[in-house]
Amino acid sequence: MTPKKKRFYIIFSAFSFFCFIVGITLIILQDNILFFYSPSEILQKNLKQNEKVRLGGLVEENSVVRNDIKINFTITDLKKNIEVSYEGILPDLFREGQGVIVNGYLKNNIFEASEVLAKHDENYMPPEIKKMLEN
Amino acid sequence: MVAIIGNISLIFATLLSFYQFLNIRNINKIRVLNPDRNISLQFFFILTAFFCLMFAYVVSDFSILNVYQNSHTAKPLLYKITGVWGNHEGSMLLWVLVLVFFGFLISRYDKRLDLPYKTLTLSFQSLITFVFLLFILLSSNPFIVISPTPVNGLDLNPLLQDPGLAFHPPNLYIGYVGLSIVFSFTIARFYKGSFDASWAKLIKPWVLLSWSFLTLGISLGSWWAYYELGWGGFWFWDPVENASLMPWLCATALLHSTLVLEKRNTLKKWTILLAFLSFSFSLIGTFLVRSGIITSVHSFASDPTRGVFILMICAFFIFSSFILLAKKAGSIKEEKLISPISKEGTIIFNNLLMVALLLTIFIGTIYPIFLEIFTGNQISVGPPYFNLTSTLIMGPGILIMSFAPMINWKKDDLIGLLSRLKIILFLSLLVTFIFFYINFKGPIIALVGIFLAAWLFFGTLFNFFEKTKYLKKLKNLNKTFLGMTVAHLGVAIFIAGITGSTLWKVEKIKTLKVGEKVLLNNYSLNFDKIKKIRGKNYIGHEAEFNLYKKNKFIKTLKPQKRFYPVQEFPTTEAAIYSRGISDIYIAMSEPIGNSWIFRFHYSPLTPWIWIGSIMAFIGGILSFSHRIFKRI
Repeated sequence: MTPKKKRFYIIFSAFSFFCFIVGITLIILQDNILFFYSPSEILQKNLKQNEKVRLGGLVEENSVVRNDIKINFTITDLKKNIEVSYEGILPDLFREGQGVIVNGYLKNNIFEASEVLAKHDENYMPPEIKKMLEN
Repeated sequence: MVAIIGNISLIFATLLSFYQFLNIRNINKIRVLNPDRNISLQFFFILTAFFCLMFAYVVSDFSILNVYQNSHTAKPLLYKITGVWGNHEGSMLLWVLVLVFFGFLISRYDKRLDLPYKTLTLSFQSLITFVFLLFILLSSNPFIVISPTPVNGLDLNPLLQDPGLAFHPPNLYIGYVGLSIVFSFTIARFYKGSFDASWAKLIKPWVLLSWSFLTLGISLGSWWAYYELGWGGFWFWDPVENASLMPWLCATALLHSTLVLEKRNTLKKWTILLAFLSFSFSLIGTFLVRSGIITSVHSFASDPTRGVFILMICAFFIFSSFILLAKKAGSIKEEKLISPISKEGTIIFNNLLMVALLLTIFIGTIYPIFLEIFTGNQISVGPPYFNLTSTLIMGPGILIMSFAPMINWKKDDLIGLLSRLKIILFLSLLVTFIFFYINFKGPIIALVGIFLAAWLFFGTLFNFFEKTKYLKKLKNLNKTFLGMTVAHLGVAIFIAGITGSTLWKVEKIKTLKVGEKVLLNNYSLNFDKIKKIRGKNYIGHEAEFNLYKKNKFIKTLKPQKRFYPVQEFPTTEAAIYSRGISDIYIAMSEPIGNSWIFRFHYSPLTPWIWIGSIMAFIGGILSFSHRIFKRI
């Protein structure tokens, strides 16, 4: 094998390995991405049945209602509100009036959250929410 | 005063590092200027600046903006000290301190280098120092003074007031920044000397050291997340976590490919590429964490303008090094590879898998950025993606890792290998069945995890027995070999740890009044008492649980809920009872009337995650100490 040919094979096999990995990765990725929406956006979108999404906004003041470990609260972007129901433990920094992101499903206009995320820093505003409030 | 000394030191260090970099022009002259004094002075000035900042924190000098923003008089002394790197500016100063410290170590203690090569290496190291010092002076100066002096500070984020996180950044930085010296060694080699076995020997100890501390730093961070964040997990596949995992994967691949270069004089270009990639990924990691470009649960308030600066630094080092490699690649001659069934064959396989995993994690981490730029859609990539890809890629890797160290260099026979594997296979299946018998409620994949862990464990042990002639030749045991054995056993234990912790965890969330109890596997937890507590800078509640196993009292567990009034910030201090093979975990949430919400976990094998990581760290250090003390 001439060196030129050999180099071609090496580059070719490296390239196909690379493409293979990227291809597989993107396929798996497609099934695992969560879109982020604000309350106004989520109401406009026609979400598929059982499509898991992220919803972000501010926890509306005086909207948190507790019933043992079942919690209901409202997320707002100051234009539209979405009611969220969640079962479990809230993060330490979950507070009324603060930014929050929830993962879950929208069912009959109620968002059933499987996870509630608040950030580790009380000055921190998730970029999505910041951008949303600026608009 | 302190601020002035700090600023002047930083400026001196900047000038010195630039001057040292200019020395590259003189490298081909007959008399090369010894860089030792310059490097020592750089180290001295940065150390001075660092201690100035630390002093300002200890005496609570709020005339310095950085201290005012991140400290408070009531904070315990330990967290005043560690608060120095608990913020952006201070942590960048620590970064540069580690950078010059590595330069100092090389200049003083690495006696293997000839003068021109050493000068060249340290000049490139100084260039990195210079660029980062400019970054600090222009956009992240920790010594900015405010007037009038505030009465008290704003305090450090209470989540960071914790021993696990206090020592997480220094360890991580030794790992990240240690890769910079490998980078400098590599760049310098393009101008002096050649890429042969001697170069592999030169960089090996430094790769080992960085790798070990990266391992330690990452596991400290994950241990902290486990007990401080109160959700009982140890890894979130968060962008910031991925940012530390990517250089680790790269360094792991580099560690193994230098072996091939050392012994077989091949894979040169690949090793150079990995050396560049490792440092590039530490830079990219720094960029991801410091710029706040990605939404992350670990994001602390951050400033996007700094991101642009770091991005420019990243681009500069990454592009210039890769262009250099592309231009010079033709002149690097490799030895031929002979057989796929050989140690180098398995190492190449290991390398491909590591890089493949690196690639998938990288794509998953930056994909949201690209999608947002091009489509405006905001997305995030969920943990299932990372779990699936990492399991798929690492599975075959672990299969091979078990017997790779047994195989000879150049060529080995398949039949001899297979006969040894029979015993290992038998033992691993046995262990898997035992696990199946005593505890099987989880999914089948858990058994695969246990099998892989046992397979790796017995394979490594078998090899150890064989090479030491069944422990008869322990006396003149090679430390490198011992280090490898300990590290590989650590990985086996670690795999069992993640398997148990993710797939067999039992979780209960309950609202309890004093006097009530909860049952968790064979354990019973009695909620006995709740009392108010008061710390130096926090107040809170502490619950007392008596843990019983089949009516036998074991221990009292005391989870806490703290509240830090200065920042109006609650934290959860989980109580963990660790038996070595499983954890009982209690995290306290909020009160409802006169009862409290608690989260209980029974997580089998979880302690093994940390035991395995510590073993990997020890293995790395053992191997490092052998290499370093032999020659220096």
